[in-house]
Amino acid sequence: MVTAIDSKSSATYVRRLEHLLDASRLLNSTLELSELTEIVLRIVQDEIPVDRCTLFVVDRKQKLLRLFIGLGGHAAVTGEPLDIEDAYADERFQQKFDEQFGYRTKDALCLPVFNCDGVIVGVLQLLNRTRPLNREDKEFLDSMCTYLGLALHNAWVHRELVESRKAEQELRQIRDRLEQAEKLSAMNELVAGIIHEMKNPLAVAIGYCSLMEEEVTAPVTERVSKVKTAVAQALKVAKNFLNFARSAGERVPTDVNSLITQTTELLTYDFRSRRVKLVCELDHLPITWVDPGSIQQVLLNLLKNAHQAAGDKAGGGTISIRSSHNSERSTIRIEISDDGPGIPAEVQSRIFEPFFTTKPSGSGTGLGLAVSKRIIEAHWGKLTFESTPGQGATFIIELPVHESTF
Amino acid sequence: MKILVVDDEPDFRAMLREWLFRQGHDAHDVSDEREVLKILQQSHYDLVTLDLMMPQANGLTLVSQIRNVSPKTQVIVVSGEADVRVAVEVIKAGAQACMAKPVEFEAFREELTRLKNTLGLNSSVPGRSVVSDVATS
Repeated sequence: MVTAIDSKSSATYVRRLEHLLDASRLLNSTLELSELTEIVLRIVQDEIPVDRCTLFVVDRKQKLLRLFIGLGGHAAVTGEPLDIEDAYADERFQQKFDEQFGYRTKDALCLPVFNCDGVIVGVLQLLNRTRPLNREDKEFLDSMCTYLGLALHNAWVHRELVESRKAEQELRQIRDRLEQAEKLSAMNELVAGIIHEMKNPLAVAIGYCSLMEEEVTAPVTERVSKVKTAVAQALKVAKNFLNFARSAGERVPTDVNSLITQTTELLTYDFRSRRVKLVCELDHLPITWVDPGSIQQVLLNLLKNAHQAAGDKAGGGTISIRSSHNSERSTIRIEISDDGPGIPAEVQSRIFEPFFTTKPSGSGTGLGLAVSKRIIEAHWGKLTFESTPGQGATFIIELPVHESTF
Repeated sequence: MKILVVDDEPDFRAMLREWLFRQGHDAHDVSDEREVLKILQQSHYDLVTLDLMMPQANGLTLVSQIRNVSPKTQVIVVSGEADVRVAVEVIKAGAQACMAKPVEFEAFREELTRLKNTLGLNSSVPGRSVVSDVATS
């Protein structure tokens, strides 16, 4: 007997075939899980008269459906489809999901999805059909599950490959930068040693200049005085640098304004060479308990970044340093601003991450801001920034005057 | 005052001794800090200037030892490492003062004057003016 196929069901059949073909093409063309899920759910909901359609994906690392309870979980564990007419009458059904989502499940169909190796990779769950499903519906769903299995498998393979490549690349970057940090630290020690050795002869030279000042007359006195000033300046630079090169030390009562001045003096040459103008507005600050070497390191990091940003500006930019005291909160605040290009919105959330840098490869370790933040937080302080791209950036250090008043 | 300059750096030691001598003091010097206690046991010094960073002994311990061996001898620490933390430790150990290298001679003079007054060595002439006279003559 020949089964008559009416024109309506024939049209549905053709449309479904087209949909399946589309699905197959689309599923083969995307490797992103979220995109895949969206495509499948859209096609299924177009074709199958159900109220809700969900795809559960098996977490490969856990080897099981994240949700291995409930009807979907049961289908994942057994690998068998489940067709339940009254969910609330089935003991495997978890009412809590309905409560959680404010939904009322009546009937449910859970179809396990397998990959090409026969391993379960997901469960397609359809809730509350608007009419009974017929044979064509089920065939359509079977085909969808087959495509879906292959696509999920491909997506997994793709994701693993991408992740392993990314991990490998990150590992290489971390290794390179650690190596660079180690080199820097060795260099610091070396420089600290050299400068320590330089301090003594410079102190001797200054001492003899003072002796000479007392035994000669003008104009020699003036000249000796100039030599003394020049040597004293060299000694000051050496001391500032030594302070910086040394590792973190104990917190001592410190005049933070003089730390700021010392640090800017270290950078005088750099500022001048790139025509960067420096504006200091230092209010009176109370003596603050900090580790001067570490705080100087933070100031140096922030000033160097600001210098880089302001130096990129045609004709040279401006860096402003402001310090102020909040007596109510017993904190001091240091603001370092530049009028450079600002921090692009897309990197703002990452700038304090270790090894994150926007500087050209080889010129930054990506550690400066991370280390600075760590140092300030170790002082119970805060390091934050404000930046509107195109309008410069301001880094703000807040420190408690006494230990742990934050 | 009879002063002993202790510093392992020969040029600095010689320079400081010469300056002290010019200020009218009886200045001597020694490079090896292990000799200091022996010298103090043999003869009296009003003041020892001491470098903290020396190879053979802990400067802080030496300050206390000097004060024990010769309680009338005052100690001024002269150090390249002087900061507030060091100064507190040094004073706690019994020193009169802590000066940073390079020495600010004006401040050093004031310190010596204060010391002389404490020791009652300049009852007739104020130390500062004597020192100034020598320096400018």
